[in-house]
Amino acid sequence: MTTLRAWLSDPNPASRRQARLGQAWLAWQRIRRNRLAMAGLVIVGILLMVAALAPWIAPHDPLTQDLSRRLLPPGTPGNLLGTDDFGRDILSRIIYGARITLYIIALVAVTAPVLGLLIGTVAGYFGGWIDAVLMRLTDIFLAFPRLILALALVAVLGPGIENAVLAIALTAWPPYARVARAETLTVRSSDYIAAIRLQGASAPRIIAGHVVPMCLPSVIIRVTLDMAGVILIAAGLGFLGLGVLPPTPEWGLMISSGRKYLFEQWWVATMPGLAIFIVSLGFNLLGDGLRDVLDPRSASR
Amino acid sequence: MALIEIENLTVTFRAKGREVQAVQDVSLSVDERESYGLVGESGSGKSTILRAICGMAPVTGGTIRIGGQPVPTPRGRAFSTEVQMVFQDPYASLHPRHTIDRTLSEPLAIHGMPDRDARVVQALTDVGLPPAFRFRYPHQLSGGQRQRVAIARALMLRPKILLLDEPTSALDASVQAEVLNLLNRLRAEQGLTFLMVSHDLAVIDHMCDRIMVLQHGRTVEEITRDDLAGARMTTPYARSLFAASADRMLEGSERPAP
Repeated sequence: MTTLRAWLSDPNPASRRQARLGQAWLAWQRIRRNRLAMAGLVIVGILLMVAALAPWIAPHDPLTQDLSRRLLPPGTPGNLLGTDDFGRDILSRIIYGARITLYIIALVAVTAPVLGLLIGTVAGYFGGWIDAVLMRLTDIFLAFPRLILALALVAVLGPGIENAVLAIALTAWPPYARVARAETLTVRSSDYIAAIRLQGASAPRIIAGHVVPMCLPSVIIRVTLDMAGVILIAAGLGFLGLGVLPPTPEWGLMISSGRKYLFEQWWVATMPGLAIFIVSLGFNLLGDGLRDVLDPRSASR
Repeated sequence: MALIEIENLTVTFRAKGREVQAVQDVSLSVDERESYGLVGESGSGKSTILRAICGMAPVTGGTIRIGGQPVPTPRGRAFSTEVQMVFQDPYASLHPRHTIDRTLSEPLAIHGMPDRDARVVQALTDVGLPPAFRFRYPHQLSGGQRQRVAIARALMLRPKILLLDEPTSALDASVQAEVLNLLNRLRAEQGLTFLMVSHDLAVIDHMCDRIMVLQHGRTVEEITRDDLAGARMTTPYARSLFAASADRMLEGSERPAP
C-alpha cells in the first residue's frame, strides 16, 4: 500500500501511465477531503451497486402482479415499502428502476456532452461565420423549453426508452456547447496554442488534442450538475406516458401510476419520488465537489 | 545572401474601426548564424515583428523572405521546420495538461518523425534537464526549467532560425543568465540563427551581434555590438535607452565606462 502510494506520488514518473495515474491520485486526494462530494459519490456508488445487483437484492420480481396484495402500506412483512395498485412490490420496482435510470443517464452522458463539446470547440476555435452559424443554432435550441422540445421529439418518434434518451440528448447539448465555446475562446489565443500552430499542427489535431482537454473539466462539472435535471426530465417523460412504456419499472412512470392514489395510498407515488430526490441530490453534491477538484482556476495551485 | 530578409514591413491592427500601425516600414536582414537583436520599450512593435514572421500578425505591407524565398501564407509545415519561436512567458507557453513528454513529442508526431523516445530524451539532455523530468507536468517545474522545455520544444524540428521573444524577462536574474548561456551554447552547437527581442540592453549585449533600436513601430537606429559597447549611438533615443541600462551592462565586465 505504501509502495503504491509512493509510486503514485513520485515526482518523477517513469511512464505516461504513471504520470496520468499520479494526477488522478492527486484529484482523488482532493475530492476525499470534501465531505459533501464524498456523500454524493457514495450515493452515486450505491445507485451503481443497486443497479448492478438488482436481481440478487430485490425481494420480489418487479413485474409479478398479485391483486390480493394490492396497495399494502410500507412496513408490511414481505413488502418493506408497500405495494402498488397491481400488488407489485415497490422496493423491488425501485431497485430495478435504478437500472433504467442509470441507462438513461449513461446514454445521455455519452451523447449530449460530446455533441456540445464538438460544436462549442469548433465554433470557438474557428470564429467568424462558422462561430456565428453554430452559435445561432445553439441559441435556437436554447430558446425552447427543454421538456417541451423533448415532448415534441418523442411525439414524433414515438414513446420508448431510446427515443426518450435521444430527445433528452438533443435538448441537452446547447449548454455544453456554450461552456465549451467560452473555454475555447480563452484558450485559443494562448501561447501554447500559438506554439503548436507554429509546429504545423492541423486544426482538428489542435482542437482534439489541445483545446478539448482544457474544456473537459468545465463540461464534466456541468454534466454532473445536469444529471439531476436529466433524471427529472426522464421521469417527467415517463410521467406523461412518453418515455418508458409500462409495465417497465421506471421511477417517473411509477409516480404517474401512483397519482390516482395520492391521498389514500400516498406511498405508491412517494417512494419512487424519494428515490429520484436522493439520486438527484447525490449527483448535485458530486458535481459541486468535482467543481472544486477539477476547476482549473481553483485547482492549479 | 541573408537568411532572413524583411523589407518595408508594415503591420496594421484593426479593431472597432480604429487602426493601429504597430510596425511601420521596418527593414532588416539577418545573416546565417548571426544573432540579431530588436530593442525598444513596450509597444515599440518589436514582438509584433516576430509574430508577423510567424504569420500571427496582420501584415499590410512589405515582404518577408526566408532563405531568399517569400514566406507562404498560411505558413505551412515546411516553414515550421525552418523557423521556430520561444515565447516570453514560460508559464503560458506550455500546455498545462500535457506532460513534458507529450509537449516535446507532439511536433515529431505532426511531422511523422521516427525515434520519438530517443529524440525526446536527447532534447531534454541538450537543454540541461534530467531525463527523469520527462513525464512531469509543467506545474511541477520551475520557471527556468519550463523555459528550457520551451526551448527544447522549439528545437525538436531542428529549425535553422529561432525567434526569441524576450525569453528571459519572466525569469529571476540568476536563472536569466543560465538560460542565456544555454541559448548561446545551443546556437554554437546547432548553427542557429537568432532573431531576439528584448527591452533589456544588457541581455541584448550579451547575446547579439547586431541590434536594431525601435520606437513607436519605426526603426530608430541599427548598431553593432561594438558600437553598443563603445556607446557610439547617433540618435538621442538610443542613447537614453543605453543610459538606462548601462550600469547593469558593465557590471562584472572589464569594459571601461564610456
